[in-house]
Amino acid sequence: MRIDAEGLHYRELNEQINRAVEEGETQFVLDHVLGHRYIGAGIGAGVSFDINGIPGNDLAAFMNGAEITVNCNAQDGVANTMNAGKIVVHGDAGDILGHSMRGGMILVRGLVGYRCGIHCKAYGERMPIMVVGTTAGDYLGEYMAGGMIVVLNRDDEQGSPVGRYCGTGMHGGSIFIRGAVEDHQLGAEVAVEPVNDVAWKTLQAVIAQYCGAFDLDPGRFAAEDFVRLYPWSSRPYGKLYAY
Amino acid sequence: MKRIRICEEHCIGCGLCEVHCVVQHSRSRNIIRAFREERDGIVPGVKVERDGHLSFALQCRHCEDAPCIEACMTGAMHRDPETGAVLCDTERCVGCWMCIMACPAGAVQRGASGKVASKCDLCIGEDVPVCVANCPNEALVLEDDGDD
Amino acid sequence: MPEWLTQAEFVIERDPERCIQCKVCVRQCANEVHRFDAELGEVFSDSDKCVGCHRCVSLCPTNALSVRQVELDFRSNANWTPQAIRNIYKQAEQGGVLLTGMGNPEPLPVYWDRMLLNASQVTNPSIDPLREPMELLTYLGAKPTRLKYEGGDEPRLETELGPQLELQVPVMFSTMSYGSISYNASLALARAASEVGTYANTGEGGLHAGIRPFAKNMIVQVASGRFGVDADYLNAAAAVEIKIGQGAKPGIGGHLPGEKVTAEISATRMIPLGTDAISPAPHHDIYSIEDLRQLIYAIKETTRYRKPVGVKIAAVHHIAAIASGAVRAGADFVAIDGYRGGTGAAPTMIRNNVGIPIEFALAAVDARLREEGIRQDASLVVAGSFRCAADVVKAIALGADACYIGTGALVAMGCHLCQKCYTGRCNWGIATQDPYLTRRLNPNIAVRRLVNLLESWRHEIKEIMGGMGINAVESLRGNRDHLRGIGLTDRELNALGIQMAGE
Repeated sequence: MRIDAEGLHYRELNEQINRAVEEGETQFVLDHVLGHRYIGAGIGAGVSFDINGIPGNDLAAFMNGAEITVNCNAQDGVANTMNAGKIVVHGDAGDILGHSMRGGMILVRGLVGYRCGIHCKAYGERMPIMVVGTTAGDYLGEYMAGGMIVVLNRDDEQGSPVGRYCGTGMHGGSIFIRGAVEDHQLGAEVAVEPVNDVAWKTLQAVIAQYCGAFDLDPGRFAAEDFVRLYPWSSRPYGKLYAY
Repeated sequence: MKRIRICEEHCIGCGLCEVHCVVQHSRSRNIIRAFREERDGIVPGVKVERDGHLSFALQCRHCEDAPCIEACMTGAMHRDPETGAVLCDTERCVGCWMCIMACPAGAVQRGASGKVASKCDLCIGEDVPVCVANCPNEALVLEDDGDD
Repeated sequence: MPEWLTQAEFVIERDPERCIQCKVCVRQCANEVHRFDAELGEVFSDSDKCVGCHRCVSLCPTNALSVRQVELDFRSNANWTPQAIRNIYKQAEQGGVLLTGMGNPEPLPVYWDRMLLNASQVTNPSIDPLREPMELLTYLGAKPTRLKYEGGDEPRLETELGPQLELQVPVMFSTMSYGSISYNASLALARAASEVGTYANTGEGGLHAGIRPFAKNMIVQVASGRFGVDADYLNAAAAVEIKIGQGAKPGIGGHLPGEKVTAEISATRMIPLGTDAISPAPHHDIYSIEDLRQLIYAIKETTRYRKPVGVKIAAVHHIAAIASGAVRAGADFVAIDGYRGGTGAAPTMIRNNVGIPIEFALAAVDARLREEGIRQDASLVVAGSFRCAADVVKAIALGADACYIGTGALVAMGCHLCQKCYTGRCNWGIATQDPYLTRRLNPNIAVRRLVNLLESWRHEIKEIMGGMGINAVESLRGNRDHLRGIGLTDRELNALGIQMAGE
């Protein structure tokens, strides 16, 4: 189903989409999207969206399995508390990508803003995965409780591809960074190690997905270029209190 | 007949059922005197079984097909026609302990004197057995199964 | 090394004339205060560890036990109170942030006790609730500014009404997350709410599978940790509440220590076993009022606008402006939690010193919303703390639509306010996950007690209202003329918007 979003309020656009989904529609192409919020909110598996234009904040909030392709940049709050699904952004994304995400995958061609992956969590088979093509801002993976974040630095930028306070409050999951990360950029709860064989297998599989989506040669990425950030403890605040 | 149902998920293992069973079967019926003066002479009819955090209070099930009545060689173990409860006539009991061996629930004990068998008598004379009435967490519930 | 600076807070008194050495106290104390010496055949008590929960006192079959607070410990000092001194001993020994549980116990004025209610006499006859109908039915949700009807002989309502919660009594069970309280306690609250026809709040614990059957009487919470929050959770419940703050600990986040994250909690909150469950201080997608509006509508979109979506805030300075902002952000109800609100664990300094009384917060918010002409856009629910039906009536008179009770509900289930919830050794089976202790709360008994509580309050509210000569709770709501202040300064009377007794 093709919907022209021009002139539509987000509420009207989403109502149209939801009604169509209830009636069995599974594939949507949305044209002239410009700042329309909450597209894909709460939508389950079996539905896909092809978005032409820039979706507004909270794209795929609480999404439950659907697939979205954004043929432009995305804004803040992409996949906010998303439970499952797949999002491919052919552009950059804004702040708090994957906030409290619990499962599914996001592939961003370019950069993301700050607090990407904040408080994302993994549970059971649910494992949230975020791949950032170029660079990420401050507070990457803050409070991370589980899942996987990858920063590819595909344009081989000078300096570090991440900002400061990387992984602050981390108590689960892994962050893979291709490039330099200095100690002063890391949160107190974060440890760094090179990528071992086991980790490389998982990372390779994820990179392959990214490369498939953006037509890149996976051979460009080698294990030695990456470091893995992980938490010292699953209980970083165990000794705070006087009982 | 009235039966006691055990709700083991609510048993807190406190032992108050045992305490009140002792009082009920004492001469004084006064808790302080019963425990001070008569405690050694009474075996409570209910016993709390414990394992880790699990517990439940077990008393005679007053089985329809009571193995103890079958096993009793003197006829001391008999069924009370009015309440349907299985009772031990201590005048007839000779302490052979066949009932203890036959009971699948382990609900019969040797009496304090060591000479006769002792077990739950469903508190004859009371509307509600005292273990049920005094359980603080309703882990023992009185039910009427409809058979008279 | 023993902590020799800290001292016992309670003393156990055992009457030797009454103690029958039955050992019930030994078995029931989770803090191992009582022990049986087999050689001497006697029970001894180690008062040092007593927290004053009265479990042993309640269960002792001969009433042989009594617990009293240790007095005359220090030379009397109104400034350096025994508690202040003990706090320093504890921090000097252990280091770390002081933790505590339940609501603020400090001896600051309770303003409910300084407000008196009216009764009608002579000109305005009182109403007898036993013989005449009395309406307590309360609806929570955005109300339209005006109603449009289609004309004709049988007028039909044209205005579309937003989603509403329907309460049989203007009291709901406040947020107590599964994790801070036991599963049996959570279940009891849900069942009781369902039986009475009101609502219970899941808190940030997620919606346990066993409680899902009662979901249409549950308000689910979206807190900063987003534990257990997915589209199913949001759609199963009757309403969604975004938790911005909590009266007991405004401004800070929450922390469920890893040792309390059992298999059940891990499954309900959807986090790995044994990991800390950390709730950050702010929602990291809410840094402004516009962001709050964004999250409110994200939830409304996800629930297809079929449920009321509200916001819970702690009562702090400028509460009126904050509440006004929340209403304009699209909240269908605003819950305000005053500084007396309870908690399973909070830093003592924050609990005792941060936040303002709900009486003033409620008065200010209700007045401000009316001034701005937006009072009908959201219902006001208040919490922290309502100890009796009279407190509820006063709150409604000040402007509340409904009251949340937390501590009151726990007390009904057996809590003795010993304030040690954070240790996880609640002897009453409420604030614990220890399987040995959680058995102690029989949900059937707890439901009965909670229903009894709400039904008694329901009747008392009717009696008080009848005495005032009103027969519908709408006539009470915001009707400050039914209140008079006593022992209040001019400024306080002004802030509450009520007159002085005698006027």
